[in-house]
Amino acid sequence: MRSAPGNGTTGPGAGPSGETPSERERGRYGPGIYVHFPFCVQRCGYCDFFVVLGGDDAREAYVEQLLREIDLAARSQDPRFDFSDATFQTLFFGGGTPSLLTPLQMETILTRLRSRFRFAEDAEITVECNPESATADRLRAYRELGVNRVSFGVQSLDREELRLLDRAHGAGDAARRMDDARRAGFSAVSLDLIYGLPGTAASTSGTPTEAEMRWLRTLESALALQPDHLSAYLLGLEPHVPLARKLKRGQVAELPGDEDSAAQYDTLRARTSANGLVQYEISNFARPGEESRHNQNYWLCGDYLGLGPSAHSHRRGVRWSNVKSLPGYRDALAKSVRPFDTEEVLDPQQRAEEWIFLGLRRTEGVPLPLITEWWGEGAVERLQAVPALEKWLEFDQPLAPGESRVRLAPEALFVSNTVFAECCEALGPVRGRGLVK
Amino acid sequence: MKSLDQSHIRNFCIIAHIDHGKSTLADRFLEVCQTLTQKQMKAQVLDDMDIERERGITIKAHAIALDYKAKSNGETYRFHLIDTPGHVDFSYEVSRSLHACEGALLLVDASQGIEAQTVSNLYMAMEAGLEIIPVINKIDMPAARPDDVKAQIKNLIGSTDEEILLASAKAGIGVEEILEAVVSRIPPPSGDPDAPLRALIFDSEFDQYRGVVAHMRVVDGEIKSGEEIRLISTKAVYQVDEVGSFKLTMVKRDGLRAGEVGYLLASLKNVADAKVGDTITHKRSEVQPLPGFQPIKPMVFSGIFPIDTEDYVDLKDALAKLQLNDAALSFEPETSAALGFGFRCGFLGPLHIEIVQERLAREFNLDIIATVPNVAMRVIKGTGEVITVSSPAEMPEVQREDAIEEPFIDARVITPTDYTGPLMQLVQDRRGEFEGMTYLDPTRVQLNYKMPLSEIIWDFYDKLKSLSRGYATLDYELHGYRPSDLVQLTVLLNGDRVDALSIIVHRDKAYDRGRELVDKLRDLIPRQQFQIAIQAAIGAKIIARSTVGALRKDVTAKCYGGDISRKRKLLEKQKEGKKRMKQIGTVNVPQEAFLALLKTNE
Repeated sequence: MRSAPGNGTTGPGAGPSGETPSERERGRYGPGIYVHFPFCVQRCGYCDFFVVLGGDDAREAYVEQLLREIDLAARSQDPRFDFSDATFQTLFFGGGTPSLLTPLQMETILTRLRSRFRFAEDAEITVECNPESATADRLRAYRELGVNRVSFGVQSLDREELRLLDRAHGAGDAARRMDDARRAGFSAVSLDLIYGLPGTAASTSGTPTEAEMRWLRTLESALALQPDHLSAYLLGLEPHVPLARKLKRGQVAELPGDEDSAAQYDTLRARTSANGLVQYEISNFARPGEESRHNQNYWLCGDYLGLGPSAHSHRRGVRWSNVKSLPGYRDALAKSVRPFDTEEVLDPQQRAEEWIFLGLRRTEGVPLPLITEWWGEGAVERLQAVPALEKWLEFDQPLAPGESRVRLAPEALFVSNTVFAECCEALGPVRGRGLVK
Repeated sequence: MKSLDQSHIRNFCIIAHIDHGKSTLADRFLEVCQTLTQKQMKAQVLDDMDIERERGITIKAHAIALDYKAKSNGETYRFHLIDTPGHVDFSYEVSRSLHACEGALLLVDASQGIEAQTVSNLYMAMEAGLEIIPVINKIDMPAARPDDVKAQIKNLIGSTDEEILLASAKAGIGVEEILEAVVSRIPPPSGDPDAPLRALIFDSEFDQYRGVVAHMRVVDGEIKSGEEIRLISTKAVYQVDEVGSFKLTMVKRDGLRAGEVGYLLASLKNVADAKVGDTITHKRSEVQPLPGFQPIKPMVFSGIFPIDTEDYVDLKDALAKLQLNDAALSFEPETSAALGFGFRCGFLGPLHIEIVQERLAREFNLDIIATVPNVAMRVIKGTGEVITVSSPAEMPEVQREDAIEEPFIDARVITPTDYTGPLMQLVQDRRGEFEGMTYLDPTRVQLNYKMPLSEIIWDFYDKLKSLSRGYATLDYELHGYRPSDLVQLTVLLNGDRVDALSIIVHRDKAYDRGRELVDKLRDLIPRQQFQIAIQAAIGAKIIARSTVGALRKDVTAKCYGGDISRKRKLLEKQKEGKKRMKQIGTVNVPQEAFLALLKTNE
C-alpha cells in the first residue's frame, strides 16, 4: 500500500497499461492553457506578479490584444511553439484579477479559445476570483459560460491581516462569495490563504499570542466554509515589494521565525486533514477528486500554453515566457508577432532535475523506474545511501515493479528546497533519456 | 659617465611617517636636479606599485641618483637618494637601507608632529651613525605648529634651532636649503676605493625581463661587469652581467666604485639569492663581511587556501611568483580537513600578510581563505628538545614539564596624551608589560611596552587607531622568545575538530575567545538537518558551547503560473551554495563562515 504523508491518496486517472505512470498522469492533467489577466483595482503590498492598474478602456483593449495572441498562437509556424495537435485538459485564468472580466469579455475570450483550440469534454476551467469583484451575477454568468472551478483569493479572514496585505475585501466577503459560488452551481471551489504573516510569531512564554491565534482562526473559518480545495502559501516577499520595504523600516511587526512558520505549517496540515482535505502537494489540499488538474500539470512537467503578458509556457523541454509589459505586449501583437520575452531550451540534466524537484512536490512522489531511466542503474540506491536523505525521503518497497515511488517524508515538506538540492547532488549527471521522447 | 670622486657623493635617505610628505619632497628633488622632465613627472615617482600608491606606504626600498649643482661652490654632486620601506614589518630592510647611507633627512609634518614609526627609524639611523638633518614640512598649512615640532625634535636628538630646516615640499619652500644642507652637513662616503670589493645589498627586486635586480651600495673597491663575484652569506659565485646607476631608468655603467649606489645583474634566480644585508665581494677576495647581516625569518604564519580547490596549482604558482620579489615570504604545502589543500605561509608581520593577500587577489585574481595568523611558537620539551610550531593544528601534546615560548616585542606607542588611558588599557589587555613613558612634548607621549608579538597580529592596529581617532602610532622590534602560559583552543562541530579554527591563546583569554568563536560560528553556520553543537575546548575540556537549531524552513510555497525557470534557478543556486560548503564530519560549513571568522575579530 502506497501512502502519501498524512492521509494516503493516489491521484485519479489510472491509464492503460504500457504507459509510464507519468505519461498516464500527464494525459489526464495536461496540456493546459494559462491566461494572464494583469489588471487589479489596487496593488497588494506583498504581490510580485505582473499587475497593472487600469480602467475599463484599458481592459477592453487588452481583451482585443489577447484575442490576437490566441489567433497567432493557434497558427504557429514554428513547431517548437505549436499546440495545434493538443487536446487541452485545463484552462486557468490567473492574474491580476480575472474576475474583473465582464461576462461579455469572458465569453469573447472563451469563444475564441474554443474556436482555435481543442478542449477535452471535461476540461477543468478555473477562474481566480477576488471576493470583492466576483459578484453573484458574475459568478452565475461565468458558470453558464462553462467555467467549472473558482479559486477565491481570500488570503486571510482577519480584518487586520487583510489590511496589512492591502486586500480590498473584508473578512465577511469570503463567506458571502462562497455562498454565491455554490448558488451559481460551482461544485469545485478553492480558497487561497497566506500564512507566515508579520506579527504571527509565537510568544516566548509558550502561550499562543493574539497574532498567532489569527492564523488558526483564519484557517478554521476558511475550513468552516467547506471549500473543495485549499491552497495555503507561506508569505514570500521579494525585496522590492512594498511590504518588504515596510518590514525593513520596522513599520510592521516582524515576520515569524522559522520555527513559528513551521508550526503554522504543521497546524495547516493537521487542521486540513481533520476536515477531510487531503494534502496532495506542499501547499495544496483537496477533497479527494478535487485536486487542481491545472497545477498538477506543472508539477508533472507537462506542456502548457501561457497567454497574456508575463505568462509562461512549456512544450517538450522548451520553456518560454511573454513580455512583462503591457505596451510591449500590445506593440508585438500590433505587428502580429508573438510577444515572447525569454526562451530556454532545457538540456537533459535540467529536464531531469525539474522533473524530480517538481514531482517530489506532489505527495505521491515520483516513480522509481523513471529515476533509473533518467539517471541510470544505481541512481535509486545512491539516493538511499545519502544519510541526510534517510529521514527526508520515503521509498516504496519495490513489490510492484514500475509502480514503486519515492516521496517526501512529512518532515521534509517544509524544508523541501534543501531536500531537492541534496537529491540532485546525490543523483549527479543524467545518463538516460527519461522523459525525452 | 665618469666615475666620481667620493667627496662629491652624498648618500642619504628620508625618514618620515606616512603622509608627512616624503614622496612630494623626493619629487621636488628630482625637479630641481632635472632628472625628470615635467612630462615624465608622474606624481610621486618613487612609489611605483599599485598597492603602495593606494595605501600611501612604501613597501620596497628604491633608490635614485640625482646630480645637484651646489649653490655654495658651483660644483656638481652626485646624490643617491635611497627610499626606505615605511612599515614596522620591514624594519630589518629599513636598517639595511640606512646602512647604505651617510645621512638622513628627518622629515616631520608641522601639524602632526613625530610619530612612532619615525622615532624607530630615527633611532635606527642614529645607531647606524647617520648624520641627521631635521626638516619640518608643510609649514604653510593652517594647522602647522612648527615651534612645538621643533621642541619635539630638540628633545629627541638635541638639535639646535638653526639645524632644523623649515619647508613645504608641496609649495617648493625650503627645498634648495635642504639640498645645500645635504652637501654641507652629510659626510661623503669614506670607503677605501683601493681595497678589495665590498658592496652591501640593501634591496633586491625581480624584474620580469632582467631577472633579479640587486640594489647595492659599494663600500670599498670597485665592481665591473664581467667580473666574477661571490656573495658571502650564500657563498654563491656569479658572473656580473651588468652594473649601473638608478636614474629614472637603469643606466648601464662599466663599473661602480666605492661610495656609489647602483644595481647589479648577475643571473640570480630569485630575490632570495640576493639576500638583503649580504656582502658582495670578488670571487677570490678574502674580506670581512659588512656587519649586520641577518637571514630573514618569518615570524607570523597563516594558512592560505584557495576557495575553489581547482585553484590550488594557480595559487602555488602565484606564491612562487611573489616569492621571486619577496624574500621574506615563505610557503609550504598544508592540508586541512576543513579547507583542503593549501599553503602555510610565513610573513614578517601583519601588514606583510595583508599585502600578500591583496596581491594574490589583485595580481593573480585568486579567491583565498587565510586562517587566523599565529606566531612561531617554541615548545621546550622536558628533555631539552626544542620544537618550533608554526601552525596551531601542529601543536604537540604539552606535558607538565614542557614549556611553551612565544616571541615578544619591544613596542613603542606614540600618542597624543588625551588617549593615553585607553591605549594603556588596550596594551595591558594584550598582555603588555609597561616599561616606561617619555613625553616628547607636553601633548605627546611615547609608551614603551614589552608584549607578545601574537597580541598585535590580530586586530591590534585597528583598535589602536580607533581608540586614538587615528593619532596613535605603533612600532616594534623583536625582543626574543619568552615563556608563556599558552593553550591550544580547538573548535568542535558535533564533536569533530575543525583544524582550521584551532588557535593558540593565553590561558587567561581562552574562555573569552572560546565564547566569542562559538557565538560567531552560531551566526555563520546555516541550519541543517540536525541540531549542531558548537564547542570550544582546551584539550578535552569544553569551555564554551552554542547550538544551531535544526533546519525548519526552506520551502518555495508557490509554484505560480508555470514559472518553473525561476524555481530551477533557485535550486541551482542552492546546489552552488552547497558546493561552497566544506563538510566537517556531519556538518556543512560555508566557506564564507571561515572567511568571516578568520577575517575579523570584534
